Amino acid sequence: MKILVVDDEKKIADTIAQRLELRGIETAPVYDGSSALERVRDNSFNGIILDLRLPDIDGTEVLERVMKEHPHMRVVILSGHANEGDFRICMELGAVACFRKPADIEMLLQALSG
Amino acid sequence: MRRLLFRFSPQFLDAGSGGESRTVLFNYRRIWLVSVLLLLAVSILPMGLLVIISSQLAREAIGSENRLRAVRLTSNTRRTISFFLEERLDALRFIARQESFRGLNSELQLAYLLRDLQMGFGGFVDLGLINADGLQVRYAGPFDLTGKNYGGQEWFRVCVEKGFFISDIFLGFRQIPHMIIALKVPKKDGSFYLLRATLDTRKIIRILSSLELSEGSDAFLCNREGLIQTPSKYYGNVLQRFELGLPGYSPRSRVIEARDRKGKPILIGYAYIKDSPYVLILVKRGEEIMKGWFSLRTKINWIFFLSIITVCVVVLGISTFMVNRVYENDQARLRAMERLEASSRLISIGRLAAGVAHEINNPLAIISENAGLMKDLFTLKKEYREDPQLMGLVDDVLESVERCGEITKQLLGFARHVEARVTPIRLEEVVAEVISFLKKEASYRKIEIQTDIPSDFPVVFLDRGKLQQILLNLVNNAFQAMDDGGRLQIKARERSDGRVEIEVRDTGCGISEEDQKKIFEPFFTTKGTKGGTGLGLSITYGLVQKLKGDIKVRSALGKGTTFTVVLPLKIERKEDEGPACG
Repeated sequence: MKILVVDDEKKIADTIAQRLELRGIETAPVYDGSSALERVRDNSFNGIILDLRLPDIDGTEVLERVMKEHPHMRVVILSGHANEGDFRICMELGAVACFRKPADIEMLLQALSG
Repeated sequence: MRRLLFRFSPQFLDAGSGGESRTVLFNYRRIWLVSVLLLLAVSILPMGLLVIISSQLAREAIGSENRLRAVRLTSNTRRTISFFLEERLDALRFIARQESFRGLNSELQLAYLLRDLQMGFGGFVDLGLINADGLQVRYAGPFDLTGKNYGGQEWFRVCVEKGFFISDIFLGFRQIPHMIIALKVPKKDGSFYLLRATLDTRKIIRILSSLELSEGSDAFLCNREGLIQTPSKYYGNVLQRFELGLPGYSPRSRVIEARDRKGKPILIGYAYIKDSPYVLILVKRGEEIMKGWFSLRTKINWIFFLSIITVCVVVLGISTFMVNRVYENDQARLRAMERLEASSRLISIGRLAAGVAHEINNPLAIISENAGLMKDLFTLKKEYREDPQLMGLVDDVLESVERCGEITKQLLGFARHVEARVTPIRLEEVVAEVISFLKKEASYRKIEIQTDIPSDFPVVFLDRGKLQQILLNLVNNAFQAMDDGGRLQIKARERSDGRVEIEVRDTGCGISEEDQKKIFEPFFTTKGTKGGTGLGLSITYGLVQKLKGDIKVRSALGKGTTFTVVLPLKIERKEDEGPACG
């Protein structure tokens, strides 16, 4: 299993990635939308942990594009700013789960592995 | 008394006097005072000026009218007396023409003539015939004066010189006031004789006393030396000197203002009677003269006084009423502002809370993830995993983060839910309130507002603010849909199913069939960019939903739109909501 961690907050992305590594999961942390889309393109990821507030491309747009190219990608939204409306939109766009920061790593993992 | 005063004293008097918590926009007392003083000044000052000026004019008019009347009276009286004297002289002239000296030169004939004069004219006491030497040759009368020689006397000289003579009034040896008149008659032979007659003064006195004089006025004759000739009521006895002094000579009747010996103002009318030693004096007292003026002045003063009182009452009333209205309006505005402030404060608090929550969530996530990582790392190493204190510390951090997360979640929730407060509501009050917000616009745009709420309409238990917002939104919408001169109807009725129905109907532009399906959707608007946000009806819809009601629309393009809101009689209070006032 290989997970892409996308968060504009470098520390969060790195920490989450490291914690997942400790649980035997291959990860790659990125800090903006465009590099996230670039990394997804090589088709090696099974899932994405995606923040909605990103410096370049909005999280929902990243989600939309990812889902277009990889309809089976498991995307979990992890946001500190979003409200229920945003979450509903994300679910409609194909996210498997939405979490508000701070979230429990086990629950993220559970959502990612389905 | 205090309570009574309190009852009638306007509300604004207490405003701004401190001790009151309510905000005061202006110093209403000062506004009131300024308005009262200003109004009083602009109404009373001109009135006072007018009164003073008109008094002055009236006084002058009355004064000159009085002078004029005195002049006329003096002049008329002078003419009468002048005529009286002239008439007596003419009588003598008539005799001289009628009879020759020879005819007169007989005691009997003279006695006849005297009798005829007494009967025809009156006032004649005796009649004498005097020759050129001054000897009285013939005499008819009550005394025996035949043979008396007047040759050396002053009057004889004057008469010979001027042709006639009128004497002062004097007492003579009989101690009866009388006067004499004499006429020089030329004879054919070049010499002359004199006809002399004594006149009774009673007739002259009667002429003067028959003048219609008011109280305190006086009329009498003086001679040119200033001796009083006929009886005077106030200014001295006959043959005494006129105490105020004789006014200077004037060929015409004149009136002068003077003061009597007590210093009171008087009018003296006088006339020097031509060809006689007499001066007619007419005295009128000032008080008498100005009697008309005094009564007029009293009247004017009363009218002025009553006008001032009326003006004061009206000015006080109007000022008080106006300032009170301003005060009430200001207070209403303040209350509205306070309400608005309260609601906007709530919204701001909500926004702030949400913002804070959002901002805190990220750092919380870092703490959470880092602590989680620490825990993960500890779990991997046996020596740490079995240290209960270390694991406990990390768990405490995680637990605290979780709690913080819970708090931010609640804060976010606060921004969305403003709790419902259920209170008993009389619908007509809420409707009236809503209409009052738009009354100005309605009258300005000539929009007629009709309400039809039956008097037995039940009290409903709902959230007042929400109901008000619903009605306000609908009425606002109606106003925007209508052109000037439209009609808005608000009807309410109780339905058989235990719910109430409120209808808001306008005569506006209407909504097309297609649009009717979408009007409750957020951001749907027919008003384009300049109009609303497209949220009004969707918010209204949400509010109706929250009150557990329904809203429907019926509309015909160009004819108007009717919104029907159906609401329950009451909504249950939630357990955790506490008292209605929150």
